[in-house]
Amino acid sequence: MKKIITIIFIAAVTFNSAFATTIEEGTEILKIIDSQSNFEGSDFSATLSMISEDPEDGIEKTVVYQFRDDDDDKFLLLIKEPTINKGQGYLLIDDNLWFYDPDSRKFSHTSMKEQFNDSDANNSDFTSSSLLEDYNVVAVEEGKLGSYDVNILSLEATNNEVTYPFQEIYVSKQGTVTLKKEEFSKSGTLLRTSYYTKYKLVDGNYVATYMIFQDELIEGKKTTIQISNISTDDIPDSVFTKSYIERVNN
Amino acid sequence: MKYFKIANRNVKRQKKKSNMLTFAIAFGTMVIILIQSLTSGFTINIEKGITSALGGHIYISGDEQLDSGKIVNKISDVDILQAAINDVDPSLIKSYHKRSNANGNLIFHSQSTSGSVVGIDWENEEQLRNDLVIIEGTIDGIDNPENIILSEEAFEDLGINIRDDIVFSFQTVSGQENVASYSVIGVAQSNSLIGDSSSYVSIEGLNSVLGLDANQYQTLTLELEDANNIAQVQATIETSIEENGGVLPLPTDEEDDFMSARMSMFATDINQEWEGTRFTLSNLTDFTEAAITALNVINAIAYAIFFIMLLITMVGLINTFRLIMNERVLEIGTMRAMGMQKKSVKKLFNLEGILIAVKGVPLGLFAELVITRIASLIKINPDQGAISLILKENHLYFPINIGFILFVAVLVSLISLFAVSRPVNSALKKSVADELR
Repeated sequence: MKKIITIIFIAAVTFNSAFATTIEEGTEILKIIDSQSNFEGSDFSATLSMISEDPEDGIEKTVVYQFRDDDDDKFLLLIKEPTINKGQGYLLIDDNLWFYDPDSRKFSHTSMKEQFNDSDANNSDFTSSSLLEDYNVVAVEEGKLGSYDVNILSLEATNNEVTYPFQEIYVSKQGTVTLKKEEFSKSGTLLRTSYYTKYKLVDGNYVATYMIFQDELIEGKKTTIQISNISTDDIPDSVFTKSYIERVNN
Repeated sequence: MKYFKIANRNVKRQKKKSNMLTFAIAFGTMVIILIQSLTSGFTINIEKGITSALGGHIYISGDEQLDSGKIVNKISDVDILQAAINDVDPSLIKSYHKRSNANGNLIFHSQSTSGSVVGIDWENEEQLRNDLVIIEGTIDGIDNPENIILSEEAFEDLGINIRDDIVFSFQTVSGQENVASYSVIGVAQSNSLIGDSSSYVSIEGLNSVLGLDANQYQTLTLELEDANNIAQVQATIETSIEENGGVLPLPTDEEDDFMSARMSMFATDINQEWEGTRFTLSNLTDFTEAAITALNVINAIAYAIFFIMLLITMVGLINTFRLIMNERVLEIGTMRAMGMQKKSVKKLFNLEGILIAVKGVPLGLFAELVITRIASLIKINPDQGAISLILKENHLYFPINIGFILFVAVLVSLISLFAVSRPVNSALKKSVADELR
């Protein structure tokens, strides 16, 4: 009887290890996720409709025009709505992120780690992904998220400058896209959960078109982003300049 | 001695009039010393409040460059800084304190507010423990790294109670997201004059979540014995840091505007590359423009009141003496007729003036002491932080300045002499016959 149990156990372990996702494969998944989000060789533009729900401030809708040039690591976010924020812009050029305030007509330095317009989305959520550069895969598990079969990747930051030291991402086995992301603090507290519920195939890349960022520290605080008007047409270099932001405000 | 006896007898003889003069001198003395004592108390408390809130007179922060080129705020080269402080004449330094600081969001359920949390070495910064005005709860137990003293703004924004647990969300010195949980044990009144509304925890606990080693910190503040030595001490420390191989920021353009100078503590020069800690020194005057202006206004008002009171006292005394002198013209004539010289008469009246002043000044001082002691017993609960700054533990503070009191005593005596001499001189200009008429 003992022999049979041992044989069944060894067979189970062998079977499991033969089909389970390894750390190396997890790293490959990260590489795919990064490349899915990068539009190298072409530009990217879209309209973002953000709904921010805050228990204190209520619900606010923001409409943003997004322009990206991933080849040169540039992006521009221009706020169109609400009227009070209209004309504000975030410009990433030469590794510096600038915020433009049309009221003072001044640019101030800001960080990718800062929240975008007091929402639950960070400025870094609007750039191409660089998970492979910033994180190591420390564990991979298989699981289910709703009806989807997923690989759950536990990530640990490779350096102490990354915003979230730990992440857990739920990657769909079908299409290798992120469906859910949990971001943890240095002390291991869950800070934010992101859901990527809709994707659109654009020039061979899956682009998340519906995202929910849920603040896990402040009860009831979340931001929903819907992306439309996606285009990969070339964007003139003059768009990624301070003068362009000033010009569109005149 | 003979003149003194006569003068004394004259003062006693004209009791009503002498008392009137004595009270006039006493009132003038009392008001002058009272105003000086009150404004002096304001000045001391404001200076003390600001120095306490900022931790001292000189502030030293540190920047370090990471391998990625990113600049973080911390002091690792603690030995260099310690050596620099040791180079300062110990008699000039009252104390020095190490602090860490984090800005982030204080969260209680669905409520959140942004705020600054300062890590204090409570064991060595006893002064702040005494100076913080706790409007709710207690400061006892703040040494526990899990406890927090909240600013009144944060307390109101979060709508919480003492002993509630809150979460503080912030970034470590290198920019990673982190959270810490604290139990609220007290609420500190804000220092609105310098716009300070910090919450306080222990440096030990804050360092551990900020990503700092136990012996590291972000700012070191020096409290001096005398604020007049700020420039001297700052120069000594800067020289010593450089001599010990430490790094200071590149010299700034002299034409930099005021805000640039004010923000120098937080400035990072992208053109400078360095290893280890780059120390930036700033001092009280960079932060307290508004407070210094307020102090200058208070001092100006105090001096104005002082001179006005002197003037009123002097005019009052001159007029009173003139009235008295008019009534005593006959007496002067009699004395002159009996062979008394003008000089002697003058001497006699001057002595009377001094005798009245000698009675009036201590009386005024006594009245001032009684009034100030009673006033300082009244507890004031200020609604606004700015008012709390001029108070000492919610009471008015009237410091006693012996030097000023002696100065006022001499000055009032001289005024009395001046007030006597003018009407006496004009009375003596008359002939004896006219005086006796």
